[in-house]
Amino acid sequence: MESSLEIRFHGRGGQGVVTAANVLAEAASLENMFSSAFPIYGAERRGAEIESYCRISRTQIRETSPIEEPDVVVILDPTLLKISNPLRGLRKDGKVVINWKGASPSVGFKTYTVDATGIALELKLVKSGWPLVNIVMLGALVKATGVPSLESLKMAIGQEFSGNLGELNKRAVELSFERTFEVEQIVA
Amino acid sequence: MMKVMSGNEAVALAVKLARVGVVGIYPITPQTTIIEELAEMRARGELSADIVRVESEHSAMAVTLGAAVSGVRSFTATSSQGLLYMHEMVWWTSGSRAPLVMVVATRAVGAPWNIWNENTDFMSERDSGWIMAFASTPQEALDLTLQAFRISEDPRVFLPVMVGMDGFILSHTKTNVFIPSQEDVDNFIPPRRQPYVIDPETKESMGNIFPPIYYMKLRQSIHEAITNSEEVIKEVGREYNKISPLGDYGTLNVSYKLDDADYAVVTMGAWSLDAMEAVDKLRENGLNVGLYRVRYIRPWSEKEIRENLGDKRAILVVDRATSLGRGGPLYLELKSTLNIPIKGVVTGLGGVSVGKRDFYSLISRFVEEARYSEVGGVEWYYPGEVKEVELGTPRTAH
Amino acid sequence: MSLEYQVFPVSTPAEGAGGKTGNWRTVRPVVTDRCIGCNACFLWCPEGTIGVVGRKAKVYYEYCKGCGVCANVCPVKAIEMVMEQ
Repeated sequence: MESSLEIRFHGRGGQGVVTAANVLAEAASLENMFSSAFPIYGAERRGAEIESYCRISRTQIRETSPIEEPDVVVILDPTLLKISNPLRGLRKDGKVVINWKGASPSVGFKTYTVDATGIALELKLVKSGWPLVNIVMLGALVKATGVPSLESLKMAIGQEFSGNLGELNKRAVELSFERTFEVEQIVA
Repeated sequence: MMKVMSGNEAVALAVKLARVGVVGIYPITPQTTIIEELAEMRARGELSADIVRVESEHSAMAVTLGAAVSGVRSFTATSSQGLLYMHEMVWWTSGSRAPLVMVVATRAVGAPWNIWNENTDFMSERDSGWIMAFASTPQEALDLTLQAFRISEDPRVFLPVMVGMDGFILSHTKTNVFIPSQEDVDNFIPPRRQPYVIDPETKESMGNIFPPIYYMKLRQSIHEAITNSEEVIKEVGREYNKISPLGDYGTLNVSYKLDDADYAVVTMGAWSLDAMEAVDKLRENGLNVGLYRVRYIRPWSEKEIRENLGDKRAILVVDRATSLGRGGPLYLELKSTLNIPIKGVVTGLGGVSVGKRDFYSLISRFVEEARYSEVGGVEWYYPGEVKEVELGTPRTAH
Repeated sequence: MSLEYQVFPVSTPAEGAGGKTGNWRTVRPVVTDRCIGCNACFLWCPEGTIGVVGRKAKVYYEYCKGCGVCANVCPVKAIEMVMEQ
């Protein structure tokens, strides 16, 4: 990582988009980096489009506004590609980490895919019928950026979730870290 | 100890560390997670305070005030409509000279409904006789809340203290916060002191009718206690710096790269950090600018402000609040303090997002204007993206 | 620092601290033998200066303002309002 990293999460209300950014910020702070995490608030509700943000930096973070030009975009729900523009403002050399099964999507950026839904179902990380893909995606993000380490991520997960839920999510990020595919940028 | 936490979590932790006895509180966005966090602490047995969940903010302050005058360290928190509904009791509390602390997670005021950040709710209480501080980070929210208890309970002050923080931008943003140890806080905040204790066993009562001269003397007393609190705040701040390695609390307000600056921007709250980014960038590009962040709106330190800003060629004051028809409250305060050209900007109302690029363009444009003309007046600034929003066609009344 | 500037809104109420309200009275209630001791006057008196002692109402003249509410509510018209001399 250079001096700072800006990550934007896209998902739907109920998927844990906000928690994903929070856990990432906690994991980064375990490595003595500065971090901040916050969502866009408004008419948030189950199923609605949700954005959250995480800044990680070696120096104090002084920006408080939403991330408009992220280094990385994490997409928890691939259907969002069709109904909105989660890639807006992504830097030219930016990365996309997406919950995706099968042949990789062509999005014009360096892309990392992981079948997070599959991993969540496999581990029975399901609540009210919704696969909990938020933490699973963090494993793929760590694979894509190297920040923070998988170990720190697992420690942060342990702090956020107690008991079985914590263990399942730790297992989930191990699996997603292994099963993340890197797709080189497809130049049109 | 460092921990990643939101502004609201940091405030709840400060309340616990200060060993508060009674919390009279009513939930309202974006303050609600303070009461949730406190209730969870209580459920886990980490907090011994009685949490009294009442039916309105008016009653929340009544409970908190009642606890305070009966001798207990007490706390409440609110936002926006809640603060407005509480307004009568806010004045009753300062008039009673009751030491207590309230945190306001700021939010725009209706109508129309808007849950997002704006400081007008907080600023509308500036005549109420409270000590009023405003945080710029979750860290400062924790620090100022802890200091507030000690300032409030100082015999030279004996007034309630209101600590403001930007709703969502601070209340809900999780970031690194240093937490002082319980032992350090116990040594920092002395045992409860207050001007009088109401006890059913004694005949003393408070708030009875005061004839005109006595009433006016009480009002003057509050005025003098606020001005005298300036020294207390600096003293308490210096003490606090000893228990918090990141502390910068020896002064009321904070200056950034002001010493050699020709022009300055004045702000309050979270976006001061974005403005600092802009100041750095502008300096790289050869503009000699600095920043002054107002941390205490009451007391209003005329002396400190004159020392820091009095020699500037012109200043730009950016408010996230309005005194409708007059401009921003900070702008008006500075106009009455300094005899130099001052331009006001009102922006960021109702959650309008203002970032470092906006500050960069606002400040550079201001310096350009100030170099060649006498600046003044108030501008309503909309970041580029907002200008494109389609506003509904206004309907004419029939 | 001298703390002489500090003023607090506390007071210790004392009987008659505001002056004896009996001084205001121009008409006084006088309880006659018709009194049945029903306590209606006690319940209605705004100043708490009348009440049944034994079986008959008694007026506490030092603080009675002479408003006449007791005479008005008395069901048997046992209280007469008499001009002060």
